[in-house]
Amino acid sequence: MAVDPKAYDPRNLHLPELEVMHSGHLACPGCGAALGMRQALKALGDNTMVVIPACCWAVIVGPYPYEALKVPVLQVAFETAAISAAGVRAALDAQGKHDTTVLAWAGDGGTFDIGFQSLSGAVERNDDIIYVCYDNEAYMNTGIQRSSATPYGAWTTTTPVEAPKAEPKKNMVEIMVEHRIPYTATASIAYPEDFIRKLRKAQSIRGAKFIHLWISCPAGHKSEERYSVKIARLAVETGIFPLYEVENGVHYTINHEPAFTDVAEYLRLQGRFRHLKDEDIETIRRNIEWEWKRLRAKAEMGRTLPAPPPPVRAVVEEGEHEPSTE
Amino acid sequence: MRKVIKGNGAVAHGVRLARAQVISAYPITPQTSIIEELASMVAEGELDARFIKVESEHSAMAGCIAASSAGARAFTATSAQGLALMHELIHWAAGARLPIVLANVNRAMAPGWSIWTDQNDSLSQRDTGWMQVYCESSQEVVDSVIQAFKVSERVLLPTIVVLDAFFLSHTYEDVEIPEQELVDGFLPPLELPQKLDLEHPAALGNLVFPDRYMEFRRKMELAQQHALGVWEEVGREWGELTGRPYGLLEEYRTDGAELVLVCAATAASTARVVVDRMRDAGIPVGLVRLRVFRPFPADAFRAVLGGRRKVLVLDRNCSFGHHGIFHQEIKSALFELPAAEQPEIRGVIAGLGGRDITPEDIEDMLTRAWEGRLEEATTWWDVLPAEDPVRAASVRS
Amino acid sequence: MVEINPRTLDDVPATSYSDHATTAIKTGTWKYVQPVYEDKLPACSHRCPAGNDISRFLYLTAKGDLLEAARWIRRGNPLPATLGRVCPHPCEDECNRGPLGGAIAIHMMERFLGDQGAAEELLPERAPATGKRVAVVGAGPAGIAAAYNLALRGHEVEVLDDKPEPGGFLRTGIPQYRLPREVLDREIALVERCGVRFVPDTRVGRDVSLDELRERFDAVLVAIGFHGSRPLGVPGEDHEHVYNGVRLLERILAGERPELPPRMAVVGGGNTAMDVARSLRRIGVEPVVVYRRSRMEMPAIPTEVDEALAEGIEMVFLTAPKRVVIEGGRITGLECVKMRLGEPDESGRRRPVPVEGSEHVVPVSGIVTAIGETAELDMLPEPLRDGWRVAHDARFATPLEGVFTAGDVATGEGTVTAAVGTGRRAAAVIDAFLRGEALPEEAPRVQVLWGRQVRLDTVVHVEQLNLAYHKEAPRPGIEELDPAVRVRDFSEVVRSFTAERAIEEARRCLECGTCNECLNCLWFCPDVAIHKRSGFGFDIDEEHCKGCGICVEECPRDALTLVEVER
Repeated sequence: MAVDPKAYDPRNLHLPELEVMHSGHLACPGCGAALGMRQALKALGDNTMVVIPACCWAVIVGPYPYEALKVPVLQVAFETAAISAAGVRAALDAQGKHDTTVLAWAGDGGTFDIGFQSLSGAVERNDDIIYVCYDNEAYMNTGIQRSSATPYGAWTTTTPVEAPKAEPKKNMVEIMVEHRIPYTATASIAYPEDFIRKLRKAQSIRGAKFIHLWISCPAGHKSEERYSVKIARLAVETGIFPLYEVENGVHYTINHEPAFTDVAEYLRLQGRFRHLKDEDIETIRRNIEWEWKRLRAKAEMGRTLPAPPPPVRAVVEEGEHEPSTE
Repeated sequence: MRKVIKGNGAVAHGVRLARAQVISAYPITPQTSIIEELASMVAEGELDARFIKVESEHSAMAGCIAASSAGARAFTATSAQGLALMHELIHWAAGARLPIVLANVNRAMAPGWSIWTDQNDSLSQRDTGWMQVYCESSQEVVDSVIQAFKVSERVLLPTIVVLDAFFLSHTYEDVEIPEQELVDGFLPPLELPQKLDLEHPAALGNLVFPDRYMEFRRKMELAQQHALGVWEEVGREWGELTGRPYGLLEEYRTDGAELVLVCAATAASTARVVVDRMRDAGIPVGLVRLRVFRPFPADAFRAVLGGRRKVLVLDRNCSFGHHGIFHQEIKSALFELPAAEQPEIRGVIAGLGGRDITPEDIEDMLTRAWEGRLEEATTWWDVLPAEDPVRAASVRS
Repeated sequence: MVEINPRTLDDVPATSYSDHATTAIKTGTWKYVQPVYEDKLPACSHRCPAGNDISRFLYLTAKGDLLEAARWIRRGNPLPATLGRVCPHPCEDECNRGPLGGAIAIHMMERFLGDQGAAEELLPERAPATGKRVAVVGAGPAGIAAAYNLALRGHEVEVLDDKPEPGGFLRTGIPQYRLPREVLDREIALVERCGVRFVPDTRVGRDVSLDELRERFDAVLVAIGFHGSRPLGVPGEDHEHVYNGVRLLERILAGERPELPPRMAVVGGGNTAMDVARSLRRIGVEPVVVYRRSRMEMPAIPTEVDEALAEGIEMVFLTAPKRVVIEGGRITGLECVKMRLGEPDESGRRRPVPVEGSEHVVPVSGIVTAIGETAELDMLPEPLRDGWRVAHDARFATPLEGVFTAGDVATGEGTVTAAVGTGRRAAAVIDAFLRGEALPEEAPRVQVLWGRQVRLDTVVHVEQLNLAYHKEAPRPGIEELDPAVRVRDFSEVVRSFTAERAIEEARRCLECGTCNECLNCLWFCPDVAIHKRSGFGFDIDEEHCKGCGICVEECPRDALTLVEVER
């Protein structure tokens, strides 16, 4: 038989064998952020530099003199992930190292809140970086305080069960879309092939790329460690966290049609939602429906709308200077 | 090549000659013409650098930190509010031991809004681990920017090169702009011992437990101390190349001076005129210009001021609650002298928010100091008097 | 590299430059539970009477390693090509793939793999010779299975059978259109190549006594099967055109073409009835199957019934024979009575009850009885006889020292597959006996003999699987010869899978409870604490596994278990 025993077996996940992360890092058991980084670096490879602002990963990566990654890491101030990545990019370009990928790896607080301005700046400048926000929906490293990524109804230490978060989560991907970012996408640690494909696509595009990665956090979500991937999967399958990508701020692709599993399945696995009443859950259900209507409408709009005209100037290629106006 | 340029232009030329690779900056008056000129130089290909036009000073410094961490020579410029906004990262840059050079155009802090000069913005960064050099002229600015890169890269500490708003930043002067080959010979390309490097992957800035933290800070302090000698050496070397040597501080007519005025920046130019005039009138006054403020040249001050009768320190700044900052520091340095060699010290705070310090002001304060008519340890110069101290301190009428 | 324990500031870097791998930090000490790789019993194998390691041979097939799969299936089962054709495959009823597109066609896979490989490639390794000798009485499936396994364990085995050729019921009772003789011959030849000697035309109690065998051999296995046929118990059944189905089938399958009446009633609803009816059809006789219950209760393999119906065979249900109608010395019909189904009997099937006044005659000129077989034990010495079966304990040991039993004559399960299973188990006991080891309390379960670690107390059902990784996939169709064509001779009805189809089908297998190196555990470990071995399987880095259990949860097939850490 002419079948290669190692031939592609469609039943299985196929991820790169390359391992760019060490064991012995300081993530909590069942940490989605650790898993996310592992998957990300499998995608991006070891010709990568990683910029980490204050976030769980600032600790996970290891205490001095230890490092959990096999690539260079720059720890930076909380609000500076995007500009720091841009700074590394500029330095690498100045040294002719154009093929090195610069990855900004920030939490939801460092992205949705304190790092928002710097991110907006980098994306508007179209700095050639990949920015991944690993979103566990609260300030987990400081002990579970609400962020603008915390979803409606969730308990945190600053939104106690007597007054859980009353506002919906900020929609970062749509904000990125409005910057006309060349590429933005959502991703999940439960769908690593999709995540890896998106990172590689991002790697192939010059300019700013933003990926919103949903991750679980057993400590902050009050969930069982072993359910970290399961909950991430349910976030997708319930429709709470759609997997989609947007190119040039207009062309939407919904990557995965969810099963629309009842969101109660997802909520009941997480202690942070335990206090929710049936009517709260109904509100969440209605919001999922509405968000999906909006997403599908945007996807539809992207199909009919032509691609936006190019910017006044394309991204400047290395060594190319502004043409004379004479 | 001689050129008539502004102080801000001198900064830009210094940065160009130093071949900065990454510039990350945000506009603020009166710094703007520095980055405008640099933007032109980059756009026209005179300077092969990446200029990240960031959305805030905070990001400006963050961009420099990142670029420097990745091994690029990085520069930024700012002023007042911008420097204050950078403050978190000013600490970071020094703690990360990055040889970044920042040009700060001294401007008074708001409120109320002021765009005019004083030193409180830069001196507020005194305890961050940065080195600080205060310039008197555009020539010194261009020379100091180049020297700052060299010293920073040798001792792995960043430097703020300071110039007065408008009095220097926007004043045209005749400047000798060094040739590129000369500067290239003086300042080799940046080679950081520890940086982001794919060949030697490492994490920069990882968590440090209490059993390790203090060692890093002690090393920063040792680097500051070491830098004193490096500034002197580099200033000498520059002098050998250009005929313009620089030291930690500059003495003017201190031979036989019994009263020495200490001041920094453009006020020193005014003071020179006054010292000449008073010497001619037979009063034994001299001038010491503070140039390198961090590391603080305490030994040099003791050597030049020890055994004098009187010292007057002119501060264009104030550490609210305790004197002008130069005054404090000099006084603390001289306290180490034997009692017999300790001069009488008086301080004057003048020229805040860009108020003019005229030759007459300086002559008047020196005369009063010489005649022992400065009763207070610190005198606020040219300011309305306080009648009822409680009422005067109050914000209500 | 940075000095980890510097003695002076000179050896401290300027910043917290960190270039030592965190692997130095033993985060494994944090855990209080830990994953262990632990294969469990898939529902299919749990149900397999022959004890096939189904998930494993399907795994090997899915990888495309067909020869290794064929070798694996033959590790204890010498008759996969045969069983794949004749087994009623209860495994497929249990298959967890069922709700996700239909059960795996396990029997087709067994058959396919059974047909793979040349004898040289398939020849298993034999243990060193023990010098012990075993006589196996009966060359049917139980005897062959036992002989094969004993031979592989290094014993010298002779198989005695009263027929001229080995195979027992496989040769005499299963038509070639279900089991081509070359398939059977190939499997028997392979057993012979493993050192088993078949002694034909030798009947114990006639040509040689059991005592003689006990003297000449170190152990004896009695696996003589069921040969007797139960009588109908109706008037007229001693007519010459009332045939014993088993005997008639044996003659037809041996190539005889006896003069038979043109239309014959076949009484019974089991596989023999189907085999007889379909064989008669193939030699030009028109059969009518008469069965006293409904189709649902028929003990025959449902597909056999389907195939018979497709071949145009008439069947009358809920009809029981009452009398053979003989006119002028010739059978003209079978008088029957209509039945209805009453309360369930001890077999769980509803008991047929006659409908009064429903007598009628089914017009036939001959009758074949196929209502079940029994043992013929009269040639065995008294202590071995226990009603219809050979007396034995849970270890298949008979009251006579060194004499064991297996197959139908032991358990009466009535399938070739069960016979193979008991043969394998009895062989394990005999092996222990021959080696002078303490005999187990009971014969080991066949799964124990798989040669890999499997937790037998846990059967994996669909609830234990992570269905997120199992997408629905339809069961492939099974191709058959056109009924109009196939009734012309004894050509095999069902077509084998092609290799491509077999691999495709193997890849539908969920591999329940069986690690198939899908790598999910490795991919989803946040701690990089799972490493692929150079051989099969994975190592868990105990020094760094934090015991989160994601690997256990994300295993699609429940091949990992979370256990408490012993402190």
